[in-house]
Amino acid sequence: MHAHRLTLAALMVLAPACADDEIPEDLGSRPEDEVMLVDSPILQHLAAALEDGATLRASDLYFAERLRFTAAPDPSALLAAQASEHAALPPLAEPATLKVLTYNVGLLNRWYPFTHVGVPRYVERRAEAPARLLADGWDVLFLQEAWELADVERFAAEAARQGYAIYSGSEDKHAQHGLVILVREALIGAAEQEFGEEQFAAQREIELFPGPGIKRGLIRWSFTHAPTGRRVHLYATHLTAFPELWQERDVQARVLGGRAKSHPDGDVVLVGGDFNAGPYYPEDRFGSAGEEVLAGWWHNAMMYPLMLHYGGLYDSRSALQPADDVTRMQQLLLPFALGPYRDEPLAGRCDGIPHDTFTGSDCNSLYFSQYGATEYPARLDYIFVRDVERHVRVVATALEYTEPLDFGAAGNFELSDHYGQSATLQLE
Amino acid sequence: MIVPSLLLAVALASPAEVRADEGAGPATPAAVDGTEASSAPTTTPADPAATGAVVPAPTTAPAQPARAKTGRGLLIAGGVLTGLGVVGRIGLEVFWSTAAQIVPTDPFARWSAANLVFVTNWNNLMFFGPGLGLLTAGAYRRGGHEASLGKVRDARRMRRVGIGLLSGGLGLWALSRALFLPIAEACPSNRCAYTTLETTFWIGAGAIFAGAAHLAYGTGYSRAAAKVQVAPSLGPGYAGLGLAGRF
Repeated sequence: MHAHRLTLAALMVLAPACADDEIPEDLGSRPEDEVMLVDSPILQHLAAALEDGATLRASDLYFAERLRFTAAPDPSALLAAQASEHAALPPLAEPATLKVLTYNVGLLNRWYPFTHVGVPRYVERRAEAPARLLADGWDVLFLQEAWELADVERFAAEAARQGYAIYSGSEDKHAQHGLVILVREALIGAAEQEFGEEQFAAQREIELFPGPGIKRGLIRWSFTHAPTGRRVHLYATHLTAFPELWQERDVQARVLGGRAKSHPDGDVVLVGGDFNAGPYYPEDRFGSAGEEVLAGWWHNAMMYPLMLHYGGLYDSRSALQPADDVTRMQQLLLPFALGPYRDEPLAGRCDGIPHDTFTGSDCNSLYFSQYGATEYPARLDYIFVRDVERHVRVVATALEYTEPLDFGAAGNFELSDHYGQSATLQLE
Repeated sequence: MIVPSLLLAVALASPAEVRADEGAGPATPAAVDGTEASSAPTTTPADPAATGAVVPAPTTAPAQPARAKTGRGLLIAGGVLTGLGVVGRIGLEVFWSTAAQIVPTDPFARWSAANLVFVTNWNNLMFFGPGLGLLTAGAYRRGGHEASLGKVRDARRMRRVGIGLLSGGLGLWALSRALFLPIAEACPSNRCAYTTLETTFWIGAGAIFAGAAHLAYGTGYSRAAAKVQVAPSLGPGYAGLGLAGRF
C-alpha cells in the first residue's frame, strides 16, 4: 500500500513534466472557437470529411476523440476561393514592391544522449547559405532552423555587409526556436520598431530535454515600411514536426493566428515559416519505417485552415491561382508502397511532378535521405498575409533554391532539405 | 572488555595461519603454539559421559571462525564498477568526438549544457559513485586487515596524503562544474570547452579516488593498529613479529 502511494505520488509529480499540453487553456474564449465548421468557408471542407461534421465547431477540432475522418479533407474550394477573392481586388495606385522569402535553411546539427539529429552536409551548407541568400535581392527573409548562435552570427555578419537588419530573439531562446528575420535596412522607417519572442505552451516536451534542446515558438518584428509608411508586422515560426503530433501543431496555429489578428486592421501582417503540415493528404495512410504504414495524415490537413481561420489570413501561394496541392498529391503513386518510395525519390516520379508546390519533397536529395518513404511530400512552408484593408497584392510566388549546388569536393546537393517559398508583394 | 595485552608470536612466513585468527572467534591453540588442537570435547571426571550417562550428540557444527574481512570483495566490486564508469566515460568521449558531429571549432553551445549534465552524471551515479564507495570501504578494511597482519605502514602520512588528494580532487571537480558555463563561454571553441570538461574530470576523479583510498586505508590501518601493536621479535632460533593487542 505504501509502495502504491509512493508510485502515485511519483506519477503526480512527474506527469505534468512529461505531459504535452494539447488542449488550449483558453479554448472557448475566442469568437473563432465557436464557429460551426459548416458555416465557415475556411473550415467547411473539414466538416464534409468528418463524421458528424455538421455539428462540430472549431473548438471541437482540438479533441481527438471528436474527430472521425471518413474521407480526405479536400481544400480545393478553399484554395480557389482565395485566388478568386484576390483576383477581384482592384490594382494599387502607387505600390512598392516587397520580395519576401521563407526558407527552412536546415542548419540542424545537434546531439542528445547517444543520438545525433541533423540535416546532412551541415558544415558545407552553413558556409554557403548567408552570402547566397542575402545576395538574391529579398527584402524580407523568414528563416527557420538556423539553430546555432554561430550560424546567426554568420548571417549577422553577412547582413551587415549586404545592408540588412537582423532579429533572432534572445540568445537563450534562439537556440531553442532557431528563427531569424532579416529586413533590408533601407525599408525600415524612422518610427519605433517592436520586437517580440514567444514560445508555445503546447510542445513536444521531450524535444527540449533530454532531446536536442528545441522549444517551438515565434518571433515578431514590427516596423514601418519606409516607402509606403505602412505598419508591417512580421512573424516567423516553426511549428512542431511529426505527423502524429498534429494536436500540438494545431494549438500552436491557434496561438499564432491570434497574435497575427491582434494588430490594427490598417496594418499588414506577414507570417512566414515552416508549419510542418500540408493542406491536403489524399490518403490517410502513407509512409513507413519498414513495418506498419503510418496512418493519421488526414488530421494533419487541419493546420492550414486553422491558421487561416484564427489569423484572418490568406495564403500568398494561393492568391494568384489556386495552389496545386490537390493536383500534385494525386500525381503521387498511391496507395503507398514502401519499396518504390524507398528505392527512388517520389517512387520515380520526380521528373513528372512539377517542382512548384511541395517545399518538403523527396526530389530534394537531402530530404529524401532523411524522410524518404517515411513521410508524404507536402507544402510545409508558407507566407500568410493578413490584410484587412487590402493594401497588399501578390504579384508572384515561386519555390526557391530547388536546384542542387556545386559544393566542390563535397559534391552536388541542395542548400537545404526544404525548398524556399517566395512571394513578391505590392504594398501601398 | 579490555584484557591485558597478549603477546603472540606470529611466524613471518605463515600468513594463512594468521588469517585464521583474524575473526571475532576465540584464538585456537593452533594459533598460539602451532600444534593441531583436537576438536573433540575433552572429558573430565565431572562430565556425565565419564560416569556412563547418555549424552546427546551435538546438533550444531562447531563454531567456525568468522570470515576474514580483508576488503578484497569490496575492492573487486568497486574496481569493476569504476572500470565500467571509465569505459562509459570513454564511450561518451568517443560519441562526442564522432557520432555527435560536434564541430570542434564552433563556440560551445549553451543549449547542450543540460544534456552534458545528464549524460555525465548518469555515468557518475551509476558507476563512479558506487565504485568509489566500495573502493573506499574496501581500502578501509584492507588497512585494518594489513595492520592485523603486522604490515608496517605510515598511516598518518597516508591519511594526510589522502585528505590532500581528496580535498584537491573534490575542489577541482566542484569548482570546474560550478564554473563550467562561464569557462566554456570564455573558451573560443568546443574543443577547448570539452577538453576542459574532460581534463578536469579525469584529474579530479583520479585525485578523489586516490585520496579516498589513501584516507580510508590509513584510517582503517590506524584504528586496527590502535588495537593491535606489532613489533619485530627475534630470538634464538626464530624470527617473528610481536603482536600486541586488545582482545
